[in-house]
Amino acid sequence: MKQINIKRIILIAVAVLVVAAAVAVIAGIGSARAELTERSDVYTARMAQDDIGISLIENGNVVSSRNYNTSSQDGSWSTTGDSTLLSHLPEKIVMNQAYPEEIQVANSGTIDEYVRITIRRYWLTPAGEEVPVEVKQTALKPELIEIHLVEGTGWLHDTNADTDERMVFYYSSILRSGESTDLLTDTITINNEVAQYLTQTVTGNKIVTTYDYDGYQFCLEATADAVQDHNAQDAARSAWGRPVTIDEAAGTLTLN
Amino acid sequence: MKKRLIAILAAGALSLVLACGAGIGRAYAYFTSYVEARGMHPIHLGDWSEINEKYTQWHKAVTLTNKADSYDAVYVRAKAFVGEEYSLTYTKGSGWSGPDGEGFYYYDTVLEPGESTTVLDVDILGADGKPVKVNEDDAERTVNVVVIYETTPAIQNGTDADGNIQYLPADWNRPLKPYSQTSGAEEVTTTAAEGGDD
Repeated sequence: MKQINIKRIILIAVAVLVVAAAVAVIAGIGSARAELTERSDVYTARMAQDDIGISLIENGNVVSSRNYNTSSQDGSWSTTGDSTLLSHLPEKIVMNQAYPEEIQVANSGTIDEYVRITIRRYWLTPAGEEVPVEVKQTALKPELIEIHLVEGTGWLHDTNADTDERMVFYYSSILRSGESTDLLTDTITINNEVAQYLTQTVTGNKIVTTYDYDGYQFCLEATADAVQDHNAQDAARSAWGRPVTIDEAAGTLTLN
Repeated sequence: MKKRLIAILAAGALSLVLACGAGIGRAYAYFTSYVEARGMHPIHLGDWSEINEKYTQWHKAVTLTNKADSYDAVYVRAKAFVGEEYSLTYTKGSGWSGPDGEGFYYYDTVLEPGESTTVLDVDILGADGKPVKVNEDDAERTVNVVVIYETTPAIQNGTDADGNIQYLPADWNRPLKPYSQTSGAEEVTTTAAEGGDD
């Protein structure tokens, strides 16, 4: 009986020692401590805010600007300009006279972008309503409002999108932040054909010439759109509904 | 057990497929911006003119005026008519030319709003081309001398380097809408006192 107890005790003791040794070994694994002897390099990270922005320029003046502002708490848009064209024209328009009308676009955001412009010209009655279709077709044609396009620029004319009033243009190069496009247009002229519709009334010693379109107004609209430069082809298709081919490496846009 | 394992694996695979498929067709937002601007401007067209005549001693002095509140310039021309027993002679003031084959006299330059022509003098003579002699017993004689004038719009054609408006040449054959004409006969009444020999 005493032998059995001793043996058991010895076995237990050995087991405990073995376990303890094992625990000690396991605890020791990975416990090597070393002082940090090297300091990593200092890295500088620049956080660029993706603020897209676009400005419409007439005769060198910004008439309308819209820029996204991520620094604001609500990420709002900032807009400037009175969005008014043709305010520089004299009160009395001379027919067949070319007046300055230089239209272009600037990137007023912080990211590069691709842009397009839509130009629309049409006539309004003295009351400010668009002229009826029959009048437009026989007399007050939109093309009597002559918008002269500057040649040899980076603008691509999407003639498939043209109507008698509308013209659409895409800029063929990426527009870097802070840069402006080439001029799209340079003059506006009212064709003197509009003055051929008249009536003369003679009463006594007086002759009165009355023109059909006295007081009518010619109207010019311009809309400029911008899309981001990354995934620009998909962005343009999504935002503009018009498939274009953008080579992001070259920074070019072509019409399909 | 095997069936349970298969069921678990199938459920996990299905979950994975659904998780991936949920991403299909998701709309991605792009950075875009736009601006708009608009402008309009009226055109003003119209003119009115009148003729002024002064009669003295078998003589009419004719001037034409484009009124100051006209918007546009005009070209003008004029001619006179008289009965067969009389004849007319004209003395052209500066700027007048003619007559053409129809007997019209033309003012060579446009009349801007507010401008008048120089005088076109019209003398009434006898059929023989000599001054009319008025006898004392011919106390009253009525002579109809009708002066008509016409205008045509001066169509603008831009400006020159100095900003002066340029015009296309006058087109007297320009078709116009029908107009009413009430140019009346000018009656000239002479008396023995006024007539007389010159």
